[in-house]
Amino acid sequence: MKRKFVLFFAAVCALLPEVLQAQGIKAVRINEVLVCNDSGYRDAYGVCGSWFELYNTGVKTLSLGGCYLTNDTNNKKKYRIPKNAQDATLAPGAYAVFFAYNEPSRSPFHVNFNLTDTGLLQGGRAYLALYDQSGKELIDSVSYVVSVQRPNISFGKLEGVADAQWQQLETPTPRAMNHFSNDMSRAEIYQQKDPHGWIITLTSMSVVFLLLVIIASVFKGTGSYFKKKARKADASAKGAAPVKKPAAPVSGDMDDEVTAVIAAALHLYQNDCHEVEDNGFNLQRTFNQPSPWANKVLNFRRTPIRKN
Amino acid sequence: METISENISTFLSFTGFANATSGHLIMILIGLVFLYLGIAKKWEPMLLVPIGFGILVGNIPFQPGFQIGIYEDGSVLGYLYLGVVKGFYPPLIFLGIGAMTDFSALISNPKMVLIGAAAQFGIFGAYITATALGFNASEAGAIGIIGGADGPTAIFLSSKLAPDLMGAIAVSAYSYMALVPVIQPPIMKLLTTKKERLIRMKPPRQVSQTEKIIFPIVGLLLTTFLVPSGLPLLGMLFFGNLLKESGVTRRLANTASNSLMDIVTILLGLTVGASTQATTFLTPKSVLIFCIGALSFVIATFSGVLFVKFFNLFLKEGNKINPLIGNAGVSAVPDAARVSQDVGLHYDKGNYLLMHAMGPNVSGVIGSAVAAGLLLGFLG
Repeated sequence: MKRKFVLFFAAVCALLPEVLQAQGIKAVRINEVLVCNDSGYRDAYGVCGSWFELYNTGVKTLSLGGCYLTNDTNNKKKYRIPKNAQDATLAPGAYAVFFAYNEPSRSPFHVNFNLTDTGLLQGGRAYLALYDQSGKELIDSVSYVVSVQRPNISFGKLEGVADAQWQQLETPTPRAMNHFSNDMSRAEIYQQKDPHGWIITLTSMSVVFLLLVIIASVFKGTGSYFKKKARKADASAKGAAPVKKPAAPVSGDMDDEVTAVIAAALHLYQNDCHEVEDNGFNLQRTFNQPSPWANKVLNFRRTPIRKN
Repeated sequence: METISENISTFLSFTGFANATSGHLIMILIGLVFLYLGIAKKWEPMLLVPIGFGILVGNIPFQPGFQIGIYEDGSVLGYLYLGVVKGFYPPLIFLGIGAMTDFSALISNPKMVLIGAAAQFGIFGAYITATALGFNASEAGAIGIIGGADGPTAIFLSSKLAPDLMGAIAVSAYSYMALVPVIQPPIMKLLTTKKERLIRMKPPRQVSQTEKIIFPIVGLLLTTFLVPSGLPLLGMLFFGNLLKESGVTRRLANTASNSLMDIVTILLGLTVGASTQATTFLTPKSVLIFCIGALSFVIATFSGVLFVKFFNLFLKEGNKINPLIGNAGVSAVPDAARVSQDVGLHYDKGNYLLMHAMGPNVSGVIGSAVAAGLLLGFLG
């Protein structure tokens, strides 16, 4: 049983990084898109090109290397982010900005397509998508009408909100948190969703209970381990020197308390830590740090003595 | 001559007498009551004396604009108050609490931890009540934490969620902590039978030093992995406890639990008291906060005691828990545990409940810090 548990635990530990990595990539979102960039954010070449921003909503640092970006619904693997690209790792809450004016040779963050390409979808719509490293699983996508895009006005979503809607940003915020004029704080969003506070209450109480149950279980386990250990130590000590059961005190014999006092006195005597009593007072001078500030004599003015 | 009279009238306009309002006088009266309770009645003097004097300091009337008041930019009191506003006093207090607290009662009987969880109903009961009374979600979260009976946690959370209400929340939390011996016993007596009050519990087992060292490390990892937003408080609490239990950092533990704790308590108490400036403090909201605070304490005590009674249904005879320790689930350490002891001794002179009550009491500290972390995570 124990062995099975250990094997199961080892398997979970071995698979955990894979599972977390998979979850990590899924936490990336297309967060902001600027199609018409006239005079705003520039790349290292000084070009004001269209750009889009990815955001890591997860709690784990992850690598974008090997993922695919595309603006073509029929070609999921249009642009592969180089596997070992520098700065392709995204810390939790971090952003990555990709320029999209079809100059992929400039850097790993310059893709081989434009954000203005229409015709791939109907109704003058363009499309942008992020696929995982296999190029099969869609992580996030957005489609938009190119003709309504205004210069230097991007569209984006509120970070960290699961069902956030795309909104226009009068001031684009590349590599920074999106700010909308009608932004609501997290508390306001919760208040809208849960006006009476029952959901937060139930969730929080469950978490507090769960956490304290985990603590109780863990320390119950460690407690029984240490109890067993102490019992074993006791047993081995007894085995080494079997203690004879003391006979019941009979009249004239010493009782346990007297024995204990004698034993303690012998112990103190043998270890030379007994108190010496020489029938005199043992006065010890208390040591105070000498300081003129604490010296009464120096702090009081002496009464003048009149000399006749 | 005219200039002299002008000067005198200008001087008089600066004095507290010229600027006093009825609000100032009411607050000064409240400060004096705090001082009376702390000094004459000896109710939590370490808290009530600094807060009471702080109330006097904060309510001396003055003309604004001279960088005197706690809310004025550049004033000395304002700088001292930064520790409250920015929330760095509470974690330092938690460091001291950790260095002073002996968790062995909890380690020896881990099921006591759950009583600490039950008492957190006070926090969320107050949260729901505050929401129903029209406070917004952030304010309600900050008010709710009063029910945890933990002053530093209340200050920490209100500084993040509702800085405008911090004075009222802090004073309310500390006042009710001081009133634990008054609020809790009637509820404990109401909810228990004489037979239950006489339950004698098994003495807790002796805990080895290794277990005591493992506790803060595992405790930190478990709690903060699940609720990282509680890290400032929980991290410092467990760090302080490790300093105490490791046995090799005695000097650091002594500093954390004595000098540092005293310094921060003085600064915290005084500035929290001074933050109750009549102009910002005497509002209907503050009165409501006081009422909700009282209610939250009542709910916490009710739920703690009732939870033990419920728990006892599943325990064998001989293993039953005395419900009088249920009140100790609020984190007013060690006042709530002391109340359990006093009420227990009142009914049975040989029934010492203090060590048993310390288990839920310290678990309440962890529970309220976790609850604060959760509220901060949701509403911050």
